[in-house]
Amino acid sequence: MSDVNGNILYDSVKGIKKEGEFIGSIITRCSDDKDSIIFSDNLKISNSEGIFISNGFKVGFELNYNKKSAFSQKIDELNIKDISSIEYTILIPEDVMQVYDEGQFSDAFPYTLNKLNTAALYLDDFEYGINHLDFFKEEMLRNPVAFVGNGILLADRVVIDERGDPVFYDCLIVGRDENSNLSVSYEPIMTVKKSLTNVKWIIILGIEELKL
Amino acid sequence: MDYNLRHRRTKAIKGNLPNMILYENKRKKLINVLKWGNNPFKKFVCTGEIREELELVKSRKNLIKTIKKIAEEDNNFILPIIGDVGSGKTHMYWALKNSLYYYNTIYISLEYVYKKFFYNIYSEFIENLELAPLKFIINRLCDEWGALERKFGFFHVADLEKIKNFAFNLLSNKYSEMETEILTDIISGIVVHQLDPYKKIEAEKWLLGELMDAKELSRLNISHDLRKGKDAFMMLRLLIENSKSGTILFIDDFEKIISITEPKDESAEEIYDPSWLYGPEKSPDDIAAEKVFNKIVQLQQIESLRIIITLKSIDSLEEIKKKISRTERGTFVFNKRTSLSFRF
Repeated sequence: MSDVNGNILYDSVKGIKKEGEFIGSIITRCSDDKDSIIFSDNLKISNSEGIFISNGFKVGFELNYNKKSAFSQKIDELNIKDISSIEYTILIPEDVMQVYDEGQFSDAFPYTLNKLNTAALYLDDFEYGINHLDFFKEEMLRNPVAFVGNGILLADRVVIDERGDPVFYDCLIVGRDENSNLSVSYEPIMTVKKSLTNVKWIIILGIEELKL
Repeated sequence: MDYNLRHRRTKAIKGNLPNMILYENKRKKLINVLKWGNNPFKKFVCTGEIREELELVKSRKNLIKTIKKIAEEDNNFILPIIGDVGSGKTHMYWALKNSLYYYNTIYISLEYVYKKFFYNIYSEFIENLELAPLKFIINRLCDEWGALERKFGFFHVADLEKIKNFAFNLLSNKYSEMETEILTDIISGIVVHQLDPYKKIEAEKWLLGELMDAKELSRLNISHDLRKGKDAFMMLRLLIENSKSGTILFIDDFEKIISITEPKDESAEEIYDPSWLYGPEKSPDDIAAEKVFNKIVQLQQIESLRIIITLKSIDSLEEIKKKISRTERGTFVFNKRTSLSFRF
């Protein structure tokens, strides 16, 4: 668990809002109907202009013809004047990012599956549920993002074990504690029992879409 | 009938004459064969190819210390070592190699690197360096060129074009005399090897200086493999200048260059006159030797490359100095000590 008090840029629950221009590894959680998350390397907050993000990457779910599907899109410029659509924005401390970087597998490692396009691996939804966990059983997939409990989990890779449960490796976790305070932590391994925990969704980011 | 046959045979012999070299001077011919051909005595002397573990005798250990000191004090030099045949100059190479742990010490015999000079030196350098340190150097180069940048703040998805452009701007400023095509080729090869897992196999072949076909080169977006001399030179320069350990090039029997350019024995009767093909001024040997000289002068541009040459006599050194003064390109920067004598 890392001390992130100084790194919370905006928190609608605790009423935190820091004005200024921020550069680094920033995660923004939107409170829209798409459950989307924005990854970016810079962000500006001002009272007059709201939140301004340039060169970001948005991930979430969208409803298309009675079917929910995962999406990811590059954002060139996004100006959010109504900041009530944002739950929080947090700058991940550089020391945590260093550890996260060190835990990553090389692209040349042969036994990992890179998905070219972004796709849903799992969605816990009564009406539009998706579950491809069995299909990828005992495989290793790169670049997963998950919504587990109330937290965002970004990992380098996920392995689906023989019981069909996802095991995340090299994970960054952003979530709220029992007092609703935001926190960031790094876990080298994280086993998620989908039967016991509230796994809302898992998306595998497409390598080609990240390159855009 | 007989007359016609004889006439035709004479005509055929005459027709072949311009391709034949006949030496009246048999001694000289034999020396040439021994010098450039398969020398039967090679098996009984120390060579740069077969590793020698034997240390130098006590009285000569000071030489190693002196060379070590020179190498530590000076990054760029040519150090002539002079000693008679059989005095142990080549053996000293192995003693140097075994004792200079923080240097890549490479043995070069001019007769083997005579053609494709830079490519052959590059091959020797790679073989000596081994793959892991080589990968370490090019990994570090890519990091300096921006490979560690996180896209969208989190993802290590390298933007190859951005990295290549950054590297090109950096290198074209530093090596402004280099052709654009060469720099582009070198940068593409290194970046693809490190950052594009789908083309890594081809890029590794290129990096190791292997022969590549047009299809492989086009996949890497590279015009030539490293057999093209200037590409090999640039690559050699980049690797040596970015290697954490210094590099010592040990050129054995350097006066072989002089002997090629020695004035011809006027008494030798040659039916074929090389000037018919190469002009009256220079023989093919002169041209070849001059090319090698120019290439060695170019090697001096490489920062932190120390060159040691072995010679048989002081006269050879003087001869080389004279020869250098006649060449078009620059001068040799000999070490301040000028030379180490190896006479016992």
